[in-house]
Amino acid sequence: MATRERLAWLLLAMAAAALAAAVLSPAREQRTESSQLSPPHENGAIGNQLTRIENRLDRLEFTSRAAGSGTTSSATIAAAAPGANADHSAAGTPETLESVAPPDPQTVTAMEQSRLAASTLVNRAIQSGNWTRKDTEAWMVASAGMRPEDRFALVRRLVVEVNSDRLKLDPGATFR
Amino acid sequence: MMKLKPLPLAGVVVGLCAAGAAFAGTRSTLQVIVSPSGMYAMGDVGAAYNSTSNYNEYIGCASNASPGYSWGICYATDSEGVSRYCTTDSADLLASMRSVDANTRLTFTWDGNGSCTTVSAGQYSFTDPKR
Repeated sequence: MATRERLAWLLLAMAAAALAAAVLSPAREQRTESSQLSPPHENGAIGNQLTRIENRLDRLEFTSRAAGSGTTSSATIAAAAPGANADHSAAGTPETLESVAPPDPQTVTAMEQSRLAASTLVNRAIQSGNWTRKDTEAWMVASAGMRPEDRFALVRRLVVEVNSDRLKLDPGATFR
Repeated sequence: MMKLKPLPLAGVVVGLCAAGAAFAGTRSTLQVIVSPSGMYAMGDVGAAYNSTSNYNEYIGCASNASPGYSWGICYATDSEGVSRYCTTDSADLLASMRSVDANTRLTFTWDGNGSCTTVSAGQYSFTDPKR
């Protein structure tokens, strides 16, 4: 009797262990997956930030192309931009990237036009081998509306030419 | 009553003037030097301004700051019209460029890409101020 009772208890214990293993194993797997990446709330925030960055890059590329082709599609861009923002802000995640507001489409277009004008001026001067006072005036106008990165890139090109003695500066002419 | 004779009096005056000159302190003037082969330029901002050479000798640096992006440029033209420039967006070099003023003795060097490799801006008592 005692043996049969012990056997019954043993079977009961094995059944309970099997049940517990079946219930707990999915949770353990899930936890392992999460810990391999990072806490779920962090993944969500990074994902949202990446999506926002990608979205802005898409918009920037789109506006640049529009400016380059000479067509004005500001209305379309302006309509698309707030919608894209609203999609991500609706997720309720902190808008950490909103502190650096992207330039509006008109500004982007103006910057691109300035860059093209300044670039044309630089190309022409490098071809002629001379930077005149007139170039200086045109440069001041064109470069004032450029992105600082673009201006820096063009100045670097001019500096390389001057330092190689391929570009002469007239007295009083400058590009800084 | 004893009277001072004119000649010794004149000697005292001359002596005092000479003593004044001797106490003026060290003075140094460095006109702009541009070395294309050595890839360096140096000179005093004040001396370049005061230069009476027949060309537009000058030296200096400018920094351009925008939110999120800053860059700077140094430039020098010697009395023979030889010009060299260098640019940078390095924060360290920009800090040195921003310290350039009218009393600065400036030295900068560059590489083959026109990038500044060093910018040295010293303010000394012995350099000429702009006149």
